[in-house]
Amino acid sequence: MEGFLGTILGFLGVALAIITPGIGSSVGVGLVGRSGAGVITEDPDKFGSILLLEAIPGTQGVYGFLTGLMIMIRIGALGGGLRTLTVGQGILFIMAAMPIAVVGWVSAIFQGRVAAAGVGIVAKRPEEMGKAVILAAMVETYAVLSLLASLLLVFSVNV
Amino acid sequence: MGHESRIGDVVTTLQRLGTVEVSADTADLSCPFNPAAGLAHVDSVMSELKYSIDIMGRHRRISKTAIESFTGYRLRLTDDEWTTYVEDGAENAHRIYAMARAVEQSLADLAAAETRILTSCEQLEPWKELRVPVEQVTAGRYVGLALGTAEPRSYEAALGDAAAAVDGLSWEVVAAEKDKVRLMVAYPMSAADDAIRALAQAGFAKVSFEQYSGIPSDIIAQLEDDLRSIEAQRAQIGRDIDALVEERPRAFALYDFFALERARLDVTHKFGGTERTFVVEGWVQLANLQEFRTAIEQIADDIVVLDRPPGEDEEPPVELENNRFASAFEPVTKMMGYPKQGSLDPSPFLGPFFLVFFGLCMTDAAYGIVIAALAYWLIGQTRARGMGRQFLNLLIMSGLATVFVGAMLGGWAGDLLQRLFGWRTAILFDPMEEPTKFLILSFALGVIQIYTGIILKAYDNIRRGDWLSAIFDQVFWLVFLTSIGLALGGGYLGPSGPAIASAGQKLLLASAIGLVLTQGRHHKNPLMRIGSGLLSLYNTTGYMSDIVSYARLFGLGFTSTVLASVMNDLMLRPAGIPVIGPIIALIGLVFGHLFNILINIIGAYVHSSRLQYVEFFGKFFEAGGRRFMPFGMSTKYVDVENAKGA
Repeated sequence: MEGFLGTILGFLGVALAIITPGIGSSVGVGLVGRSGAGVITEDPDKFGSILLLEAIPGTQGVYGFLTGLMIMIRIGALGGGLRTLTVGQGILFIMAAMPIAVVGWVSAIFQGRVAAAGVGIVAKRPEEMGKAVILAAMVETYAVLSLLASLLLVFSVNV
Repeated sequence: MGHESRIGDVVTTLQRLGTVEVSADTADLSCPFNPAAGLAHVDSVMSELKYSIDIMGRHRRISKTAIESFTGYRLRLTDDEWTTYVEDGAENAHRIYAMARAVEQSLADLAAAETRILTSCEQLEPWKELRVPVEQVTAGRYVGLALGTAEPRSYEAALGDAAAAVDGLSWEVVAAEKDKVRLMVAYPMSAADDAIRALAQAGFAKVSFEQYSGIPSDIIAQLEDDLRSIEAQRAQIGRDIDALVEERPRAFALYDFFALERARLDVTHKFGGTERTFVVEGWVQLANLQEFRTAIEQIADDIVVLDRPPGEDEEPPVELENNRFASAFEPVTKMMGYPKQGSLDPSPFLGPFFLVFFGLCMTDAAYGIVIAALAYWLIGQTRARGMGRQFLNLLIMSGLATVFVGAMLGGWAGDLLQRLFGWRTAILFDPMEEPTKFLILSFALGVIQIYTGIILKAYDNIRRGDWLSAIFDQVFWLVFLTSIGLALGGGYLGPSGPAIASAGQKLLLASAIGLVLTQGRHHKNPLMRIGSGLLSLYNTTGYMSDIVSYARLFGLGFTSTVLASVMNDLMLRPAGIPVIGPIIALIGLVFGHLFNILINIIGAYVHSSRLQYVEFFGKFFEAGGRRFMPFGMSTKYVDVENAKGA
């Protein structure tokens, strides 16, 4: 058990990186989907635009997944050569996952709200849809930065 | 201006040319032409057509291609088809409307009839066993008959009591159900009132079938026949709908035809004039002026076209003009908004940056080929014009830029080639192995773009003759920012590094003093000047955060690279299985990489745009231009080939 604790912590890092941004993205995508369905009942031709808006808060989930995958690769969880980590290494992986785990989670929800509000733009002024996308994308900056920080940290852990 | 009788021709010509934006405030002459009557007529025809089109859409969906379900459906007509379709416009519109109304009416009638029959069947079904025609169940001369229901547990006792009270009352069970028994009762008419009272007391609830005749099972059989005939009628109506839907192209064409007429009537609101003459003002691009003048003066001798440059106090609308290459970037600018009249159009300047950024975000040559090919194919498929065409051109160029960047960084469907053949494809460096180089590259591009933005602002200032602003606001900042870089990083530049660093420090001091002295120059109070100058140094943080923002290029590009590599890793695993292994791997790879393209292309486009809007435009762009919106042929459903000749 003791010798295994580091690896367990490493797994916890993977789980954190994937779970919370996943939750955030589900909430965000769900928000946009709900308000988008209303517009589609009125005008099914707007499906394409709505789908694009709905996809925007989904990226955090991908970022989290990506961070999780990178940790898996680093600890050898992919391919069957699982390494034994020290407790210190395990904690480092958890800390490395924290930026995307927290910022990915929160920013996906806020981005979902902005994109859901953007659905109104698509409904009333479809030609201005690009602006709705850009507004939502402003929120994404912080998810990208935290992904960056997480990835750099994951690479920096010596295993 | 011209004679009032020419208005119709002039408006038609204006619409056909599509090069003039008609201004609302024509002189101070009130408009003597009242298009209200015409408008009302056109509106009523349009609403009829809209109704018909909606009916058609409800019963027979337009079969759209996958692309059209995203871009919206447009009907393509040739000139000749258009002319045929819009002949006898109002009559045809009425005819189509009548067809649609008839279809709706008969469908509604059928639905009502069907409900009626189904309700009747439901009512009669439990009485199927009754062998007496229902019209005979009534009060006769000697014997009264009635149908009704009663409580299954207590009815025998209760009716026994009733029979005891009224001599000759008898009953027969037609059907017994769990919660109800259905009875037919008979009683002598001599004691009818007593019998009815006694029956009511016994819990007998009368049911009447006055609207029917015959025995219930026959009636039901009849009703079922009716139901079948309704189905047959429905098939007939189906054919009517088909006939109606065949008119759909005509309905689309007519709708647009009347929409154009409506626009023509609407625009005459903006005309001014006297009793016998009209005058209309509008903006036209210089390049189109001659064509416009010729076309208008051709109509009649008594029409005059006068032109003048925009006045001092006037704000002309803005149109972007670029060569074919740079015009592809106009959609990016237009999404932000039109630049102010007379200011710089950023489209050609943002172009190279946009392409490189897009390429870095995708970071894969194979993806670039897919994107460019897809955009090229879409141009052929949608025959998009205007903005849509520019956008697709932009996608093609972005795809090609992605091929270039991908080749530099060695991304060919991720690291597929390395995995399969052990080829090391990176020309510049491999982002998977040297991610920090990628990050530095992103920052470097950021610095270049921000410098470009500042230089553009300087150019703009010089263009307007404002040399002082160019030197104080832009050159000083450029020197200042550069010297920060030299002072901090100069030490690492080889043997002469320390010398560079110290030169940088001196330069930094000098430019900082310059900024402090000049940035507050709009204040009169010297103390305020210095204070505001000092405060301006704080803007450095703004430039720093701008540069950090370019880290997103690394974030997105790296995501796409890593995801591609993960796809390869996962999908190549089953390749070892004999025979079907390679097939599974191939399908998996195709889908995996398409998925990766899909989730990355949105981010690549959006973030490449954002870097232009926030970081680049912020340095020089002057927003607030009003879009040039010429009065022209804008249609909802139909594209007429060679629309200008229609």
